[in-house]
Amino acid sequence: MATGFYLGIDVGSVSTNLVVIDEKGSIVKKIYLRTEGKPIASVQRGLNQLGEDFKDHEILGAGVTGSGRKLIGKVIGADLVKNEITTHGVAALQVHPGVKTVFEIGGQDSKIIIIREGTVVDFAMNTVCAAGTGSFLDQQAKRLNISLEEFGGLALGAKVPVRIAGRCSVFAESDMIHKQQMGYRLEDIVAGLCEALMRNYFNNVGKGKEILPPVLFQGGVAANKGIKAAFEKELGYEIIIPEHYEVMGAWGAALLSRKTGKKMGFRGFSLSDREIRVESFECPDCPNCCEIVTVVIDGETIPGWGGRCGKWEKGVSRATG
Amino acid sequence: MKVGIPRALLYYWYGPAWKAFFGAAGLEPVVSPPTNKAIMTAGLKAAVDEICLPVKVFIGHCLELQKTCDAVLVPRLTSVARKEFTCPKFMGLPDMVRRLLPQTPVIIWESSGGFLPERVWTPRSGIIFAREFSTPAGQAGVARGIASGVAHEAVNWRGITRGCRRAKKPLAAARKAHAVYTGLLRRGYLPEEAAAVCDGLPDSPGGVRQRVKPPGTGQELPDSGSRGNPDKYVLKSDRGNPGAKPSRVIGLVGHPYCLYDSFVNTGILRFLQQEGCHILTPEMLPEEEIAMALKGLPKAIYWTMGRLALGASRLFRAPARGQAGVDGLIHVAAFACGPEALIGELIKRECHREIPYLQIYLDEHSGEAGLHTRLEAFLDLAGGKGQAGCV
Repeated sequence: MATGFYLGIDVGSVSTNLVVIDEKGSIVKKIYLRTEGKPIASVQRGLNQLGEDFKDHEILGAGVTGSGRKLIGKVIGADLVKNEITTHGVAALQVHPGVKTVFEIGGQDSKIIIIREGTVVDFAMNTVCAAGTGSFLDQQAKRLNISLEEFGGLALGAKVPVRIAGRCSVFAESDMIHKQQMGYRLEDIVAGLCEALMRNYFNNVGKGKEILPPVLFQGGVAANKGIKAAFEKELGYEIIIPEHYEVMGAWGAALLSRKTGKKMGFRGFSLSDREIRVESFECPDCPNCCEIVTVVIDGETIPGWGGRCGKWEKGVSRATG
Repeated sequence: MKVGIPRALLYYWYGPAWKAFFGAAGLEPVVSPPTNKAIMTAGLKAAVDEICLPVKVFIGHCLELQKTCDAVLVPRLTSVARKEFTCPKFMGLPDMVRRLLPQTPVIIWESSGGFLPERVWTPRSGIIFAREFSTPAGQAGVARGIASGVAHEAVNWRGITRGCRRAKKPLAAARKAHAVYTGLLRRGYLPEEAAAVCDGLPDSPGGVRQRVKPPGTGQELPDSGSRGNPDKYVLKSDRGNPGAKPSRVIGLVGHPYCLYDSFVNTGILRFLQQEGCHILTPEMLPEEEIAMALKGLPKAIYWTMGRLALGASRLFRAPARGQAGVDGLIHVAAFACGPEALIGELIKRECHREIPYLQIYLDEHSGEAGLHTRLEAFLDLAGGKGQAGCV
């Protein structure tokens, strides 16, 4: 009997990750793609790649997470649509059953998850501010004209990290320019940025949370050695970066879909060849002017969402005109 | 004459009373529609920048009402309980609104230490105080004033002061509506539902005078199921599926206009109800128990709404004997609210590691996605051990 696999997809603001796990829960294949503002297209690309390897195997369940989970969940027919906090917690526990704290820093949001005795007991997520997230680093790296990959390494070479205001990415930028003009070394400025991000993370997301080791650091930003170093310097102990740090959310979604064991809405890898169109319009029926999104797969319309009254979710079709 | 009542701020506490007052005074009260995008946008545009979102929304409601009403009610409820205060912004509310509605007379509902109007200030141009409506002379003066564009010189000052004694009938109507309304809230009705019941009362404008009977036409509260003592805190069950056992009981605390304005909070209540949660709010708890729960504080909290929030969160966290506790506590606050920043911290410290706690700040660009992510994860937390974390 052929073994079955489970699929997990994490549709984030910056990256779209797909993971296939086996029945034991270990990752068989992972794909990391840039979302580039087109979540459906990137998922299709990912499914296309996976389809080459897994088209003869049965996918027993599919879970979706990330900020685009609702959309993609509808498109692929997921068995499970789960928030990214739970999925990250689940994956962290899979890697390290004794984990007590999870830092997750992604493209546009950052989270802290507090775990005690194998259960998520508390969490926090950044509010409207992106100053403690990956996009902050992204912007500043662009300004300094260095790639994100170089960025972390450069920070490690710093002698005296410059103090940069991390409260707000706009202020950080003007502060950084000022320090550049003063003649500080690039390494020190980059290290200063890493520390600014770290400070912001602790002030904003980690405020009042009991951070205990072992700490897992996951999400795209975990690749950045400078940030890891800044965290370790502040905490005074080593933090663990799991092997699959960049796809932990997708992994958690796959693990949860394995657990729910519900069969089976997944539309299959062939979805990558089908024409998926998203239509959005402003609902004219009341002064709320909700923006309604519907998905059309090969001419078949899936009920829309985005409304406050809930009628579009019930599958009301759009009045023509 | 149409008097507009903005469905914002303390409307969620006193709306039915105001409505009954103006109805009994022989005027036509008009409540603005539930907040929608147009109202919010208008408020955001018109209001000063630094103020909190609920006040901006209030201003939006006033702007909406001025289109159809002859006057707009603006409460100046500096204090609604002895030695306690509401919010400094509430004090300035009439002045802010007056500047924005130069064409429409503003009726100020002035009170101190109670929700009923107590003081009458020397009238100034363009402002009408609630008590003036209690006498025919006052009303005639107001009507004349409105007809002539600016209200005030036309109103007979002596008429107003004499009216204080004659305001009995509308004030009695207001008191009665208020008693029924708060009674319903305590029984687990949400403001919207309770206000609808109050509208159907025989004493409401145009109705026949009768003894008030406990309302119960199709609005009967479902049995609270297996949790706790059903008569104590009534747990409203999922209306779509009456009798169904609630998956969780969630306590919500915060200022009433944050909790109950479903546009401002992007439908937190609706979301929780859809997830099958029972909802408990401070308005559903008896005042005496809240007072009991707050005993032992080193200093009394003099913000009425903050006091309720903290007291309610204490009751939710450690319920009195025989009462239902909650599986999780959510504090909903407006981003720019000073008192809430303090109260939120107090609640957070007290809840720490005892029950799941979530704090939500509302701002004008609250995206539903981020909010729902938090709520979903929170429900996983509150769903009991083992659901959230274990694989």
